[in-house]
Amino acid sequence: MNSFLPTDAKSRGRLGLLFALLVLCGIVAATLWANWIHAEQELRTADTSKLQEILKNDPGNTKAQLLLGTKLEAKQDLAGAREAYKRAAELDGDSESAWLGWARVSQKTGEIQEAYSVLEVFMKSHPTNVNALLELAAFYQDQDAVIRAYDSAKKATQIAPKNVRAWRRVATTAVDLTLYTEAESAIGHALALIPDDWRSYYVLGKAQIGLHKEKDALGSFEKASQLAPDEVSPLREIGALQFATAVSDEDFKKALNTLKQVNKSAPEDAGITLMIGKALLRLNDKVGAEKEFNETIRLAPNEASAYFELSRLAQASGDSKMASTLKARHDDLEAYRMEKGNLLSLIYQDRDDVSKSNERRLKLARLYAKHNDYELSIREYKHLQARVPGDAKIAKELQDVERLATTAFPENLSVSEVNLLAKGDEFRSKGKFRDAGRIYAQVLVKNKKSAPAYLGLGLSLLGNGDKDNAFRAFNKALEIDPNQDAAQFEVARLYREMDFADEAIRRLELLLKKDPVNAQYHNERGLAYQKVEVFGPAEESFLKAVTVEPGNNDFLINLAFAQAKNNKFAEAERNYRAALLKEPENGVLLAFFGSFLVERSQSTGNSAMVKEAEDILKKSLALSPNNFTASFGLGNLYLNRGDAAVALPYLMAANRQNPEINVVYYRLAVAYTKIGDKDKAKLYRKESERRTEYFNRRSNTEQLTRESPKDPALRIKLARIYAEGGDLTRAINQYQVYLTMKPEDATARKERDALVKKADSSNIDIPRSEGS
Amino acid sequence: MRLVILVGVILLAGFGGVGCIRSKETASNPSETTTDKFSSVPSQNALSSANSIFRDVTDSAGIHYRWEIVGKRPLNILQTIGNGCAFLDYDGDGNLDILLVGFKLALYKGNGKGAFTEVTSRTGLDKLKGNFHSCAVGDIDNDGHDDVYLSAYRGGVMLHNEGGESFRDISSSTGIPSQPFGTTCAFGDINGDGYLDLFIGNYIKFGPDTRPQLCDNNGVKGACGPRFYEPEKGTLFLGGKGMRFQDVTKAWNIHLSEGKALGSAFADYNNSGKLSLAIANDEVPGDLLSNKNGKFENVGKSSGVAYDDSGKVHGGMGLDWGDYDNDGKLDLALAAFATEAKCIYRNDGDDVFSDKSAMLGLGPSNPYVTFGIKWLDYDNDGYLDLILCNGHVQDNISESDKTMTYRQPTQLYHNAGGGHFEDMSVAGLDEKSRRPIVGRGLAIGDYDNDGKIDVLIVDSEGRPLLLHNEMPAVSNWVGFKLTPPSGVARNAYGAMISLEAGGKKYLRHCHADGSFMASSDSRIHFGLGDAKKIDKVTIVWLNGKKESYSDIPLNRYVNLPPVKSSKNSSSP
Repeated sequence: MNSFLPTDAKSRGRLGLLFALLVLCGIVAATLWANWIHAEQELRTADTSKLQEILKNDPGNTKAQLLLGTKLEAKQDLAGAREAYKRAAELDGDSESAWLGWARVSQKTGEIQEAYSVLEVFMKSHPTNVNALLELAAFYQDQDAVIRAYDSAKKATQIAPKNVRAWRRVATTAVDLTLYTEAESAIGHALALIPDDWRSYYVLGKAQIGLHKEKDALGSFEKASQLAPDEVSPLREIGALQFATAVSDEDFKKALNTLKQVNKSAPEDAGITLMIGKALLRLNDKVGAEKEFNETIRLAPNEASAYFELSRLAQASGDSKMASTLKARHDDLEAYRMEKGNLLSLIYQDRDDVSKSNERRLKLARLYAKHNDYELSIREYKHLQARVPGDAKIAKELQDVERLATTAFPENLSVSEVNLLAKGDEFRSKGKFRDAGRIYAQVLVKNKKSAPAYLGLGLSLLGNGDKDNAFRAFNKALEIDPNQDAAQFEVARLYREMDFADEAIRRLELLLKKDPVNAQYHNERGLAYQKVEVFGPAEESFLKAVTVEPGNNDFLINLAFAQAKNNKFAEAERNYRAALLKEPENGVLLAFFGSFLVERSQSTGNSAMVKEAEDILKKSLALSPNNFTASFGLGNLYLNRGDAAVALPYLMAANRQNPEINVVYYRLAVAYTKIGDKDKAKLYRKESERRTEYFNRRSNTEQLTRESPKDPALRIKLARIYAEGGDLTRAINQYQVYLTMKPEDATARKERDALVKKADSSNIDIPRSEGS
Repeated sequence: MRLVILVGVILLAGFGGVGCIRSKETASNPSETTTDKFSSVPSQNALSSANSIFRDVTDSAGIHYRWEIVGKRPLNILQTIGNGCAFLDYDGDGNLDILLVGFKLALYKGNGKGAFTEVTSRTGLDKLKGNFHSCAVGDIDNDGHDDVYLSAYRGGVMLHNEGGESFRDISSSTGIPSQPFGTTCAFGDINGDGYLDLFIGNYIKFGPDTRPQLCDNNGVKGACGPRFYEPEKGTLFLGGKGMRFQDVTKAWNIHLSEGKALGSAFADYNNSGKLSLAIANDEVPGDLLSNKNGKFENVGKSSGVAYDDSGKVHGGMGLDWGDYDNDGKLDLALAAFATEAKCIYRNDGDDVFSDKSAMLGLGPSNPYVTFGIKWLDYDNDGYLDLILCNGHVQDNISESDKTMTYRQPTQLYHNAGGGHFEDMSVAGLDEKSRRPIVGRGLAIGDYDNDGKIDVLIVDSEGRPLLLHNEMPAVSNWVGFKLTPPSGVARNAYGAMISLEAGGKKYLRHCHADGSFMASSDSRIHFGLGDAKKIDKVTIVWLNGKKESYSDIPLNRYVNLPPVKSSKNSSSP
């Protein structure tokens, strides 16, 4: 047997020395390791004062700084935690825990700007850090910047498709954005990764509510509650859902039981006491209900619904005066809610414009104070102080708010005014717009600040076809009361009709923020997008409108039209046919569908489709002989088929029916070219070109003006272009803007005055704000 | 699977596949036109490993170049404009080389078998610096070597080809001034004096101080559209002896064109014996400059090519002439913006065109912003197909419009008998070829001389795409390299070639221009389907002379006029 050990003494000596060296190295390493472990343990077990002591001796110890931040945060010493995290982050630019901790605590302490900057800086150097992205998403969501929150969360899922938190954040933000299908799908990913997470079921339930799958939602919340029996939020949703879907007394009793159970765990939840009150009212326990409503007001003094319910109870008990006071309080609070929502939305929109944003924040702070939401008011003032340090006015107002503690009730409308408004509404509902207009005008004589009267007047004018004055009236209503949603909607519609689709969309977005399930708003938004030929969002909007109101055929037709534009031909055809099943004799619908088939047949070469299109369009014309779409569709069909001579009468009819549509002039030029009538071809082509040139010139100048709104040269150019096109309202408006910039321009003034004279000669006189 | 194919290739190589031999011979001796080595069964690509027709072979071909857009984001309109490329034979060896145009230029010498070697510094092109956009290729002094004009923003360079060895910047002596915003450029002999003339398109008045630089698109700042800027008009220069050019912009009515030009192509579309010029303009009417009485007359509007079939202007990008329905008249294809029809204007004769895009399947439903567009008969069935390269202009478009993307895939359309175009993008392009890119310039050419047209595409924010045509060789073809009679500019641009075979008649024209900022293989290629014999080939030169040929071999490149062939010449 051979030994591996050396046999000679010299070699053995060397081996021994080597062994000794190895042992020595081992000892040194073990000691170092033990010391490191010890130091780590010491750090981990150290309390805050110990950590502070360590940091005194070793201020560059990142780990100690980080631990200090964590411990102070746990102890709710947020200012201290913020400092510690900040120092840790400064020491280690890559320490995720330090940076995210800093951002988190800054946000908690109301240092929103700082929180955002911290996240932004860290994200710049770590653009694919998933935790940072999720923190950013949470931050955005907290600041109501939900689209950004959604985008950040979505990016996180792309980087880390197995990150459950990321999927859940996508889902919660999608719920906020009313993208319920997307939310449902995202939470599906989360559940596939971790099947038994109560939070995922909770979010799933929220999405299902949005999708009107109430039963499924209930199941999801129940599952969440089973998985986390100590968590109150799923149970709260179960109670709320049971209450919302309750029909029978039994249902209400069941809901009441659950809500009371929630109330035990969360006695300060005003929403729960309100629901308990409502359930009791439904079960005829008026005394119990009143108690709960009063409790709701104690918990949330600005909860409008509680006032409303109490006013109903007062009315039922014969105390009209009290009922009226309570109702007024309710109205005031509703208006407050709307105004608050509006301001928050504007703050979000103007987030990049510091001065505008500050101005709005100041308004918001004052609004909160006015409605006794002192905590929120103070928070806003503090935000402002951080943004505009040293501003004496803000400091003074903040001090005042901190002292304030009074409640103010708004004045009520006078009875006669209310009655007049009701009379005006009655006339209007019967189509007697002129009479209605007179009544609303009477109200305005009594009260120049009556927003409902301006709204009614606007609707009456609209009924009479006077869009220009209706537009002014609606704007006046909004000027007095920005929460006149009906006026806002009409203004949006008129903007769309006047080719200011982007402004229409902006206003509709505001409305949809308040009422995300309003089918009319969605439909109108779709039409506005369609106006600027942005068919993707148009289709989305119509789809939402159809989802909310599946029975509305107009929405369905709009959806089909947008789908065709988005190349979803099969879906478009299906929806057109579905709409036709409901209204087989609808001439307009037939014209749309026929024209769709004409276009489709062109690219598919399907002769049967051509025949069907021809039949449908002819039927449409038989039902409504002046239908432009049908005439134009048939003209195109024959022109495409090479029958220019047959196409001509239809194209001529289309031109008569709607002389504003430029494409008809061009198609007429093509048709005349085909039959060899060069003179007429030239005539129509010239007209088409003239119109195209005007449209392009106008549209270019509009866009340039939007980009440089303070350029007087563009303003006067635009004013003259509008005047050239006979668009008096817009022309005057542009002259006004220009003259505020160049008041010395006598020529422009003269031109403006001439237009005003022309416009006034055909207008109903309604009150106008100065310089409007 | 790959192993099986490899074994197949090796076996075939061992047996001496005819296709390979033919290819080699064509490459080494392009002027040889004898028919004895001709084979009608080209087979080298029957071994294609993929089912796709086009395969991106950029890497294996040895092309290592990358375009980058310098400067801030989001991009402004100048940054979005993109670059061009060319297939050219700079050294006259019969094999196509590749020129890539950008802030830095790159020239790759082709070996005719699919491999390229970079010769940028050897040819002196590495010394040129500028914001180059496009290129036009042509022999301005008829010395037998193709010269190059490079258009540029606030610049432009004329490069003289020094005997196929290198290029020399002769800009200062040509008389062509620096252009304000040079985009498209094209050579053509418009006055028939035997010297190439040059059209240079300009885009808009734009500089660092122009306002606005960025515009609000649905709340997102991004590049403004051309409508925000004043147009810059194109310029026209007559070439002559000594490589001197004379500015004839006004004399030839170019100053009356609309401006904002991005694409241009010369052609004798009305068989007048003179070159006319089509110009694609961005969001203003397109121009069709008909060559009449020693100047151009703009018939864009009256002919119908200024607008789409609704009378709307479009964002015209690239364009190309070609007879897609084989009716003996050149039609015009025009690339346009997203959701605008990629117009195919059928030439109805008499200066009248009809926009047939919707009927042919290329209507406004196409969601992409198309720049490069080229007619090519990729399957040699005798009908011109279409290839389009796409890419949005706004690098942040998806933020303002969720339905759009910045990078967009290339599209291939098959011409199904002249009456309809089928979208073959998925089946026809391998995954790499149709990856989303910021597509701009697009050129075509048969770089491996196998009779199947290949494609070169610019990705403004990436690497070039060299798409090798691997269509199984089931159809016959023929290619012509023209040598014009004296008095006609050597490149023979504008010559009209009609070919009769198998009872059908085809018309093609000699050109390198067209598409977007690109220059293509100027050899004339005919796909012949299952025709077994060419009955007659007729060339009408720009000087009006007509020449007819017969006994032309199939499936190879042939010099016309040949050294030895039957020839009947006549004057019209």
